[in-house]
Amino acid sequence: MNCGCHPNKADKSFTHKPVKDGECSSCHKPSDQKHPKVKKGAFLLTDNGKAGLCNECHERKDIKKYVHGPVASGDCLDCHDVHQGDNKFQLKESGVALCYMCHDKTKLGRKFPHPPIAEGKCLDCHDPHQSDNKYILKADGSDLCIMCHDKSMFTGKSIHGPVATGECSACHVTHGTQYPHLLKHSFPEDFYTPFNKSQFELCFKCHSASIADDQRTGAATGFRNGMFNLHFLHVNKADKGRSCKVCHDPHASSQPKLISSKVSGFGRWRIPIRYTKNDVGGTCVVGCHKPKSYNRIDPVVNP
Amino acid sequence: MLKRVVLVISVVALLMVTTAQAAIDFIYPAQNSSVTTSGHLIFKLNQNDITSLRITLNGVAGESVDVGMPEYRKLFQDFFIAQSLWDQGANKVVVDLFKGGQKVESASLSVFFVPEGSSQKVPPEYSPVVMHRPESERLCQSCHNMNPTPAQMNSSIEKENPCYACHKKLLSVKYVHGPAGTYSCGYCHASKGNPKHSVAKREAALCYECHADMAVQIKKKKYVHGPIEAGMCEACHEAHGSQNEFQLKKPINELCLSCHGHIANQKHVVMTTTGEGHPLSGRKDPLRAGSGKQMSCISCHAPHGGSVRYFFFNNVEDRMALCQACHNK
Repeated sequence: MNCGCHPNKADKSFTHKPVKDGECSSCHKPSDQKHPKVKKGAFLLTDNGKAGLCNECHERKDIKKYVHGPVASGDCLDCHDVHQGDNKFQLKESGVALCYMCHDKTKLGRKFPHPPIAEGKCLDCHDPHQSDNKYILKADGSDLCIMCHDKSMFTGKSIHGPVATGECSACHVTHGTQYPHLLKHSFPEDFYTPFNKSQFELCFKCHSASIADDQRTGAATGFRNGMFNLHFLHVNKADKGRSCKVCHDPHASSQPKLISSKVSGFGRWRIPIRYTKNDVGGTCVVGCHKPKSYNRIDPVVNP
Repeated sequence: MLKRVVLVISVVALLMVTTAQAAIDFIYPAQNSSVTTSGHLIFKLNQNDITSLRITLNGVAGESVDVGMPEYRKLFQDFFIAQSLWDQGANKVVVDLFKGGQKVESASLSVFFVPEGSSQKVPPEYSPVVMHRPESERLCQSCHNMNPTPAQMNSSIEKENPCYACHKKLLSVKYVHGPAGTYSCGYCHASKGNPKHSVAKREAALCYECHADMAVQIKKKKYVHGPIEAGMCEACHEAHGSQNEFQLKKPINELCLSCHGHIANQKHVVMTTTGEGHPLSGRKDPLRAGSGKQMSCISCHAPHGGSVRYFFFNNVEDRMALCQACHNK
């Protein structure tokens, strides 16, 4: 479109519709002054060209509880070019580069980033304009996560406390951390690991370390045969200590006590576990050892 | 004229086939097969009115078994399934069939038994037994699921895993391999394969798929025990389980001496003041106090290898340092 003397503003891939249609005056409303004798004063922009002008056609985008800064201040043109651009919605930059015009990229550099961050897909989680959820997120709590992650992972006979209340962020940091799986604190990746409390920081932030520290206990854990702590037996070893996740699913499981029905990490074999719980102990039928039982009151002598 | 002769011959042949149907079909082991373990003896009776039978193995007659009762027929139909106890070498099984106390027929089966690890040669007239053949599976399938899905072959629930019903005896030993004990059969055995359910890989190629940590550990060792270097895990370990710790094929010392036999004929380590060698068994292992374990070859030698010659368990170059692990300075 060429408005007399002005350069064409409709030759890029994406053009604002009134520009394309030659309706310059939908926004640049003529005042009574004669143009070109009077330059800018000959045309008026509602709200000085801020959101008020946009809202003459577009729905307001600043009415929800959390509103993106530029939207709240009416600065639509911080992100959008009003006439035309090479990006969809006449955005000033493509993809994540737009966000990084204001947000510090270095603050998001993580050793293990959340894949959408690494791929520059901020809008997978965030709405660019407004939302009723904090950080302008598209959904609240775990509802956001299950937009991508399989919900069945978080359901079962036993569900980890934070998972049940939708607080994925109790263990995970959404943008990423220095630990794998976006974990907030350290947690061993391997099946076997020499026992070292600092490796299990993630778990011991909530659970008492005495669960694995005390060889004999009457209270630290229910997983004991008489007073003998069976967590200690499995985990507290100098060479082949087991990681918590060998037996427990950190999200949810079909068995009591978050005990997985199959364990991954031992090569190709997914080791089946069948655990039955009773009032004073339980029985574990598993690929690791013979079927074994434990009893807190009357210790079992396993064959 | 020639045509007529051919026709007559084929009619006679046909008659012979029908009349000559054996009184018994031996399903397992098949006629003239060789076996490496004592397992089932399975056959099918081809006459419905047999009331009892008697099995004679290598001239030793067993007791008469009543197979005519309705309860028996309801459970086993016209099948007979027994546990075999083969003698090493040639075995001759004779089955006498009775109708109301009257012997009506006999059938015999030849089986050659050589236990695994034995150096005895199987004579060429015997071929290795294969149970899962189409012709025998056809007979079994009225009661057994002979075409389990991979998921069924890995089901850790007895009722859902069809392998368990016939192969559970593999698990009646003291030390059972995890996947066998949890009926994860399909991890090693293919659902198809040739022969069916055969193991596509053996030895280290198969074992390291799960025992990846062992593969790493062994790579780090400067000196590796021969069979392990060669990837022959099954030289010492029984895949399903055994009566010995670590599913070893024999008790530790017996296993070691089956290759290193000369050790038994000499004073090993040192000659002590009593004129005897160092104790190699029958004493509590002082390094494993409290475990109840006895001294054995592995008290001093790491069985897979080590960073010093002779795979001394504590990787000491100096032999005295090995002694000092138990003997105070």
